[in-house]
Amino acid sequence: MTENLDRKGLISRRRLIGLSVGGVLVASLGCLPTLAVAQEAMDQAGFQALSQRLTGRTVLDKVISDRAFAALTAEDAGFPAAAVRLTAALDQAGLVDMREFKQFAAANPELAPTAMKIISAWYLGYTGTPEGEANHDDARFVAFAGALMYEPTKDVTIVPTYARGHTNYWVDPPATLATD
Amino acid sequence: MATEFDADVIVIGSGAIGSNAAHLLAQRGKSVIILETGEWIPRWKIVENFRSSPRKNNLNDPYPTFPWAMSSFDPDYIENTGNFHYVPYQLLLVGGTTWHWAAATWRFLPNDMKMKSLYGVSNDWPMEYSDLEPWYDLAEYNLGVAGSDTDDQSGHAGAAHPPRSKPYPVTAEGETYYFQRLKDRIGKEGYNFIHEPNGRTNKPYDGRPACSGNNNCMPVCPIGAMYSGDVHARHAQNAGAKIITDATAYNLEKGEGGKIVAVHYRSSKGADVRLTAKAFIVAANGIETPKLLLFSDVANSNDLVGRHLMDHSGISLIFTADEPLWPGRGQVQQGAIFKWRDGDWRGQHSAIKHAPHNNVPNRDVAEMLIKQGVVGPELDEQIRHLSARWVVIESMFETLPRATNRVTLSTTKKDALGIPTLSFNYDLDGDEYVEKARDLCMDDYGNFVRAMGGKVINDKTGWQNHAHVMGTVMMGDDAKTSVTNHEGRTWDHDNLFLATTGLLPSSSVLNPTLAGIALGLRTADIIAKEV
Repeated sequence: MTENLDRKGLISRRRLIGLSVGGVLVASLGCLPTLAVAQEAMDQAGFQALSQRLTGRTVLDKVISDRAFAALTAEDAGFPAAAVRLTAALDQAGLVDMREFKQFAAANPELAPTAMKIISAWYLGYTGTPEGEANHDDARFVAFAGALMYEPTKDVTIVPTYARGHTNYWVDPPATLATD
Repeated sequence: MATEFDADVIVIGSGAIGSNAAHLLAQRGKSVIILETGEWIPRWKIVENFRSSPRKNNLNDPYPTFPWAMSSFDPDYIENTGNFHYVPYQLLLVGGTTWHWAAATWRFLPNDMKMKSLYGVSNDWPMEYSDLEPWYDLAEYNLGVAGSDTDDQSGHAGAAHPPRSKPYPVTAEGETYYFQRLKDRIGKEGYNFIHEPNGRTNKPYDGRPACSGNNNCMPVCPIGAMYSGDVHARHAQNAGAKIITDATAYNLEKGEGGKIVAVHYRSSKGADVRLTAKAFIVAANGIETPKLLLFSDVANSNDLVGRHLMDHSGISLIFTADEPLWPGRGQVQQGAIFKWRDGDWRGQHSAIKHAPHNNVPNRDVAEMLIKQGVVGPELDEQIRHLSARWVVIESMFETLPRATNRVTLSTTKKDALGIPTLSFNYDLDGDEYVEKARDLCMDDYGNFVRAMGGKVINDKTGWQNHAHVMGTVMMGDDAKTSVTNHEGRTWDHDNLFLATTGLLPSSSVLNPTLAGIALGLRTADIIAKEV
């Protein structure tokens, strides 16, 4: 069992390396489908690697990743199997640049929602559909300060409750205004 | 032989209104007991509940709900029979619902209190503005309200209005860049931008720190810069009042001569306790107050308790501007846009308050983009681009008191203590007074979007709830048409007082809590002279 997990971990790390070097990516693509075939069930490391691919991040927090995987699996017992199929299809399509995801989604309509669920969990920090005026729903917590939706603006605005400024800092526009 | 009482005054509810009233009474040397259904909960726990919740858009979610103290977001607690799904948002813990308000602390205008005699609609208040003015002062100083001493809050760009005998205790905070730009461009179209007086102190005040822009006034300010009722619950306690938690008042016991002689409360642990006092103040929110009166069968000889429920029902607009404004820096809201604030037209349609919201918009933006299937580098680019330009305007309308809009006891459900839950009937259908205002509001929205070179994201929201509960235990001059007199004293029981926004007999377009606190302080002062 331990050996099995390690092997999968290794695969994931290799894939991570492949993704992280950008320009070399195409060269390493040839081996990806072979490696993916070895993956019969989705595990935490495999989910993290898949998440990195779908979010275009070279590094993603493992605690958040494990929580997202658990939440998506709790929501839908078929999720791990769908994630395996998605990984294989991404490998098959050789998709490494998310700018080409639209074509992939059109070609794989049954797998695109799984990809969007993973992206949504990472960006929004929850799975399911939160209710605004009721306390019963299927929403599950994934992340708050680590939700990717805050990354693009982190130099200008805060994650609520984590103030970095002082009283009245808000009267001035941010330094980046001219290029925003 | 002299009668012995458990307290001079028992206050039911430890929210901002009850705690301020209890504090004044304790300061005057009265023995005071406060009964609270919920518990003391430290701020950090609520903040952590918020941070680890998947439903950040849910204002009640970080707060407790129990089978004996149910959140108003519990479907087992609220049923609706009208076309509008009314949810009152009240919280059950020490400090009450001001844990999650944005602390907008406007004063009603003198004209707001004379709607019937000036405009022929709604009701007159059973008092003059000048009767309430000193109590507004005290309320503002208790809360550390930040405000502008020069704005004309009637929206006519005239001299400072309404009149005040003291300056605001805290000067207005600096205007956000976002607000400055909206004011500059939309202001040119004939709209008045007014600073919103608020209980979010921007200098150290009464043990509270200055606001540093945590942008989370709702559902919880993480540092307590924003006022919440627990401040005066603590002050009342320090002044000698006794707070009993896990104590749900369920019966006001009637005695001879129309007096209330005791209140009975239950705890989740099975205790059933009877307490006596010379006077009683029910300060249990505009919804829970009528519930207690109805279940006790008191103060309701004219069948008006729970009726005339008014809210500032409204609509909202989301658009993106043609320049980066960067909302999300500073507090979640800062001012109001007035065109339809006060005038002779109030006989024909609602007044309107537009409020630009200043929340960090990333969640709304990212949810929209992901729903559209945007992924990859474009998703990050669009989150930044749209978050910089995101504008949300929430608009509230004055509603009129309608006897059929009401809260009643559920006839089918009870909570764990055996107390009936709530049933609402709230309906705006066919109400021309608000419908006309909605048309004008849509014209304003068109002007706002045009002035900002904007692109509409959503301008078809339907009626929205603002949980500004008014009218349910209306005060007035006539025992036939109101529940209390101007003192908050019930017509039926001369030692039973109500202190709640439910007293307000007309709604204006202003967040009612400050008026509720001022009325409660005035009531406490009257009681202090009697007991």
